[in-house]
Amino acid sequence: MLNVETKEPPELFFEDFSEGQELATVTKGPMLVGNQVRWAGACDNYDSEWHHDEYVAKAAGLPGIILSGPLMASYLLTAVTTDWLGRHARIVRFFDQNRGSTMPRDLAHLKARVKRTYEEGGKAYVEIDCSVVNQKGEVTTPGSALAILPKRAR
Amino acid sequence: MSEPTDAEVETMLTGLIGPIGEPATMPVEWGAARRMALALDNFDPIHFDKQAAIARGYRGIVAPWPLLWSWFFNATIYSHDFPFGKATVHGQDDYEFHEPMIVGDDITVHTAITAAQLKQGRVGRLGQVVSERRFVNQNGQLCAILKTTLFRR
Repeated sequence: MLNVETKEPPELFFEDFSEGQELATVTKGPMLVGNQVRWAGACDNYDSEWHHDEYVAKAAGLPGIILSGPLMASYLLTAVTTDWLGRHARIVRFFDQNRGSTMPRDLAHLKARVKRTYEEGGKAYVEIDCSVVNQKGEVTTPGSALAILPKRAR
Repeated sequence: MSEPTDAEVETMLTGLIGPIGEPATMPVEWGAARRMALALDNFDPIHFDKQAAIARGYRGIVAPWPLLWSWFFNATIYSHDFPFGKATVHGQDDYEFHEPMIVGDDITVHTAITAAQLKQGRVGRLGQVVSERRFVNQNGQLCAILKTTLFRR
């Protein structure tokens, strides 16, 4: 496995969630240009130089380097299974908006709350609202996710 | 040069709707799945260890869903100019997930502009363009749909 210390996400079931339930905040950061560089490498995409070079970013009229919106949203998407809904969750929908910027040295608090739990067509669903909130309390990336979870065996 | 009228902009935006390019196929590579997982601090063993993935019911090592962005950036290259406004912003993304993408799969992406319209925002004209990418594996199974909305102000 080439020296990666893996960690199984928590084992959670449909019954573990209730509407309005606050899920544990996950904090990333301080964010670094290195986070953006790793994302660019993982996407095999280095086109947007303002994501990597402050001079280029400011020349383009930006206040500085801006981390990619899809990167920040992908932290949320990842946390759905690794932290909030657990290893058995099968995500079926995810939505996000790039409403504010994340810059190097910002913190990214990933927050989530259960919006709805319901059963339909023999499947059990948990829907959450989630967001990236920076150290100033500003919501930069609101989002939502819908996942199918197993029920506990009776 | 004067800015085009609303009617001209609407005609231009409507003309964008339709397929973009040919479907493009890329394999799901083990190293790519691993790099994406590490980039996002995702240490779930299903992204690194085939036996762990099989034990959880998958066919093999699972690609993290954000790897879709690799196809987004590399499989279909296109650009279009807006004859109005000053800035284009990546506004929002809407994902549907179906069959997991497994290392060794060949994923074909079909790209199209599915919606384009002109709205009147608080500070003037707002163009809205939605591109849709459908990701299908070598067995013809739909893996995911990614809808990306660009805003032009």
